[in-house]
Amino acid sequence: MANPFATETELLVLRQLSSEPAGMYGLQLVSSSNGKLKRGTVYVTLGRLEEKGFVESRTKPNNKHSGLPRPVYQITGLGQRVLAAAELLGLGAVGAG
Amino acid sequence: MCDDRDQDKEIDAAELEEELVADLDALRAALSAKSNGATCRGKYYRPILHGDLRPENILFGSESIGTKAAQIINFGGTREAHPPGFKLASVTKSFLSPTAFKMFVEPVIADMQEEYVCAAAASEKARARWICIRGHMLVIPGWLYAFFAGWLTKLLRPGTNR
Repeated sequence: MANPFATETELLVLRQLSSEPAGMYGLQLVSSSNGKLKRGTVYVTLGRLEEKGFVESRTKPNNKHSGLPRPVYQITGLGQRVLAAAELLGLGAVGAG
Repeated sequence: MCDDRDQDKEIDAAELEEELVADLDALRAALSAKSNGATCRGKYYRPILHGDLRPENILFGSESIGTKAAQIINFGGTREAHPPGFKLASVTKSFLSPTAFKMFVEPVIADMQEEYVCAAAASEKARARWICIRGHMLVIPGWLYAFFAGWLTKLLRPGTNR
């Protein structure tokens, strides 16, 4: 069945983010996904979710070095509703970690 | 760094050297603490890389009665140090919209820099090098997605700027 809301990977990301209200870094998502998310594509998924409005990111000022700030991702209200709807339809079980 | 040693006390060369070493250690610790994990002397201290850090380039003077202060001097041998990825960021940025760059490429470079700094601070040179190479490779999927998605969006929906 085609997923009308989000892909399996996107639902997996949403589920992980919903368990961490404070937000997660991209690499935290990768390490806690048991190999289901890859370093190379996790930000593509997160970017797509951000475009859809399911996820929002914020950056903290970097005190360690003069490099770029790392974004922390949080699920939005819309993202939570989409996740709830997907789980209600039985789509949430797909790709459950 | 600051102590209440007698300023007029005469010390010999050996004592001076010992004091310099001690003060240099204190200075290193202070710099390291200040830069929160960064290292100095031969490595980098955010965001300045001192090209010639040695006892001769550290001056000790008294700021007020009973206090001493150390000052690092340089003669143009310093340069700003950045973690890797700055050139990569500027190159990839030029092909993408700011939003697409921020969403798909910037986080990958930021992760690489974070991991690189941690590895460099722990003096793990091989790991730092590997992180640098891997980070440059990992930028490719995000950049390609952003580039082609932006191109397709422009093609299908003229007037939108992704």
